[in-house]
Amino acid sequence: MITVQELSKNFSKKTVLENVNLHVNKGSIYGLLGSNGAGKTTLLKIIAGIIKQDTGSVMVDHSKVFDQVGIKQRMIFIPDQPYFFSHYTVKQMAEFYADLYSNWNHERFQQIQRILKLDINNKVHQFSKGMQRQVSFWLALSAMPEYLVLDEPFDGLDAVVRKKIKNLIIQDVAERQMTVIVSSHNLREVEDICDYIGILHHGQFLFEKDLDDLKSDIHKIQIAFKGDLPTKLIDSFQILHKEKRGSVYLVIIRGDRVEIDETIASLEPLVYDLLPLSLEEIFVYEMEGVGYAIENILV
Amino acid sequence: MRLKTSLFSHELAKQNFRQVGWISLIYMVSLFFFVVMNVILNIGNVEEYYYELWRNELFHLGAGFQLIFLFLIPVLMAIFILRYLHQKDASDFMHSLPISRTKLFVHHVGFGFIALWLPILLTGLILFIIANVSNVAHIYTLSNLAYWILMSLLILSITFSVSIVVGMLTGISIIQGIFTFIFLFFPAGFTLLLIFNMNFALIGIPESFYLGELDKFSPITDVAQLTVEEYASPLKVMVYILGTIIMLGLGLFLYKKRPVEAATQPIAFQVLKPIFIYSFTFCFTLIGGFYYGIIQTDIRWILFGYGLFSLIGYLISQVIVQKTWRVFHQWREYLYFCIGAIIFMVLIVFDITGFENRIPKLEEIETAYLITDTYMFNNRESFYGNLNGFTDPTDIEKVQALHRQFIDQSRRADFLDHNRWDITVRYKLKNGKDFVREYHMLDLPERFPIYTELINSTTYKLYTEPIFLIDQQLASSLRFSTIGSYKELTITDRDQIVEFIELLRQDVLEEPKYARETMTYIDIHMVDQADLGRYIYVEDERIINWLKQNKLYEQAMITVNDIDRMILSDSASYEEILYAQNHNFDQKDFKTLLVTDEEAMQDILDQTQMGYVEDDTYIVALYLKQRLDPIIIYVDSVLVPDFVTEYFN
Repeated sequence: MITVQELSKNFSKKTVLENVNLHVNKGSIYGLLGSNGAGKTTLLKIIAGIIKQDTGSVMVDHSKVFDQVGIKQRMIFIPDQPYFFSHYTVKQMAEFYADLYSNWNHERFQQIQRILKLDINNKVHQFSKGMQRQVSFWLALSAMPEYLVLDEPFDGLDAVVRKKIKNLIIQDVAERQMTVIVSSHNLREVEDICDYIGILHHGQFLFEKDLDDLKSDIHKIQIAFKGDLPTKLIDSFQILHKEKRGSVYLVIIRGDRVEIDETIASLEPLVYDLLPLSLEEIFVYEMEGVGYAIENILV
Repeated sequence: MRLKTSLFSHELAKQNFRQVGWISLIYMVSLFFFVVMNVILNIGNVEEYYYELWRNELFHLGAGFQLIFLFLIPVLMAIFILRYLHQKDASDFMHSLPISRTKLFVHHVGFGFIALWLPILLTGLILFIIANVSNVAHIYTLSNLAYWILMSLLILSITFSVSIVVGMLTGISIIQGIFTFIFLFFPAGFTLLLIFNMNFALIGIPESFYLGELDKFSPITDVAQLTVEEYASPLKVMVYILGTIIMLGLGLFLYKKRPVEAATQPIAFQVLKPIFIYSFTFCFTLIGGFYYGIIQTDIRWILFGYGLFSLIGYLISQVIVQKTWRVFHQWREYLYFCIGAIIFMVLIVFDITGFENRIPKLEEIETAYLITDTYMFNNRESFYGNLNGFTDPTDIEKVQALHRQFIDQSRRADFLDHNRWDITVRYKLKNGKDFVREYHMLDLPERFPIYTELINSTTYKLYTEPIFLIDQQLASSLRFSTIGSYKELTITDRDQIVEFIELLRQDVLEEPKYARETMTYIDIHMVDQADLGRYIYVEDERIINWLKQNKLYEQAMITVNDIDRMILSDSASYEEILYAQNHNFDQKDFKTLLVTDEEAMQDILDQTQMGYVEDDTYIVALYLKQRLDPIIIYVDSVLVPDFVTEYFN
């Protein structure tokens, strides 16, 4: 469990994070979204105990992280550009990890090797970018971390590699309750694996949501009445968005599905359809609700 | 699950080895060529080295490169061992690992030390083996070797640890390298600059008194002394060791505080940025004053130097801090600096502490000294212990009176005059403190009769002339040698030596200020004290008589019996005389007088002296029997016998 409370961080005189709160449950995958420069990397580095916050606290399993070897043993941070010692082969890097992480699992290392089919005697620097990324996951997952902190892990990777890596992550989350925080500036990249999403903008969270709640909470309906929309509907539910095409209204509405069904049925609509809503659409309307256009915040 | 609590990580050490092992290897190889090879090549080469036994030869093998490497290698080592702190990705990676900062520090710095020490220790071992299997006593002894190992390790360690601290303060490796040397040199350089600049405004700063010790303030300036002299005081060794330990402690402390995001930042700690800007600008301002003080010696130029150099220093510091050339819009700090600097200058110029006018009261003073050569005075003090200065109240009052005159008549500009005389007044106070002032006066002897009186006093001579400070019982031999080693005489009889020294002391006390040197030099060899030597002067009647009484005069001094002929000239130079001699006096350009008559030669010899005095002097080429080349001595025209004057007029 990762708990971030009232976290602030300045670089020189520039505020990067301001009173950030974050909660990640054990065994979940948290998607940290935000445009470039929103403060994602800084937040992740603070959570991983690399840099120190100015104020606020970061607790992982009720322990501080900065300079705490115990908790860092169970956590691995993979930066957007994976780092390897120059001229090290995969094997040498693996030896280095094995020496430092006490949970290192050599069988897992060999198992992943069979999946990735990379030569352990090659120098990591001679690999392509995608292969290097795979090596970093290979090493990280072989160290059997309980927490995996990923900064833009899929950026610039092809679909095949992306798929491979996602599978590796999901497998560990499912098998041994690994907790993952993954940042991205692209919602589509992470929507299929995350259970939680948080959007960071200019160092502050715009909102945080459980994806399941989000999907069951927001609905797109096509509806037509004789005359205008009944005021009861407008008063009972939060209307995030509405537009009129002829006599048919397209409404994005927030509320419990059963309740909405019942209310609308009682109003005797001429037309009533509940349409599927993609995660991206949900975000578009959610953000409109708090006064932002999503294009400004996410790609 | 294994618990990893030990401070040692095999893989980290391996990584360190891959990172900096090459530096150690290069150092080892260069030491092998600088030192070991040179020793091996010179094993049989006894004669060439015979005259250089007095110094530690080991440090001088390798033509200075060894000394340069003593500073260069540890800085390189520190740069590469802390390289991970100065690269963003490496820094993030290393600090995401489950290793505490303390462990990282101990690992990296510890490895750096091993990698620095190993080449020295291995070279030492090889030299030890060489010393045991063959004769190298003409190059080094085992105690030389031990000293070489110890001093090399100390210098490497202090330089490395200073560089570690600097590496923590910055996020850029090149700045770490440059500022290591600035920091190492800083204590000496800053003291010099500050004292030199304060002299422009404050009269009486005991500059020589402080600056005499200046080279000990920095390992870079101290290394010359450490490697030439076969000795480092236990205190100095302690200072080096403690300095290293303190630096390492500071390094670790800073590391724990250091933000990881400081990688690639010129200054790692936010609070240090203004401190850096102001102190860098201040140092540059002082450099400006120093530079113009030396080349222009005019107060207006010095002020110009302050302005120009403060501006340059300020801009450089901004360029470093901002990491950009575009700093020409940042003037706020410079304004603050100028205000601060002007206030500081005004405080000094107006001497708010009353520094200039202070003279200790008679009842506070235990001893007073007048010192014309602070360096020699300090040397004598460290050789012979406490020196007896003026303690008689009448004498102390004279010193005070002279001191008052100095205060009243000193001008600031005198410091900048190249014809100045430096004179130090020092009081030892009853409360155990020293009160020292130094003045720079023009025409010192002419303007201050009390000065002349005091330096001709017995007390002054007693604390100035080493002959009064040695223990005559410790003198082992007296050696008389004439110029060109024409005659040499050594006395080892203890009673004779003691008798001679006591007579010499009486002669020295009565010697006038401008005494004439004879051609004989005495060396007094001491046991456990520094040897001392001086010329015998014509005025030293007692020792000359003693030599005559003991029938040693003929053996110690050049007499008329040794002289074949003399050639005198009133205008010719030494070279001209030689030329004339080689060409059988054919020259018409100048007049020479050849003297061969014994009585006439004796008359001239009685009036000659070794040192050249005034323009109005006769040059005498003295041809000794069985010697081809003449000795050149001089006669003052006032003292020259009449027949000479008549000949030349």
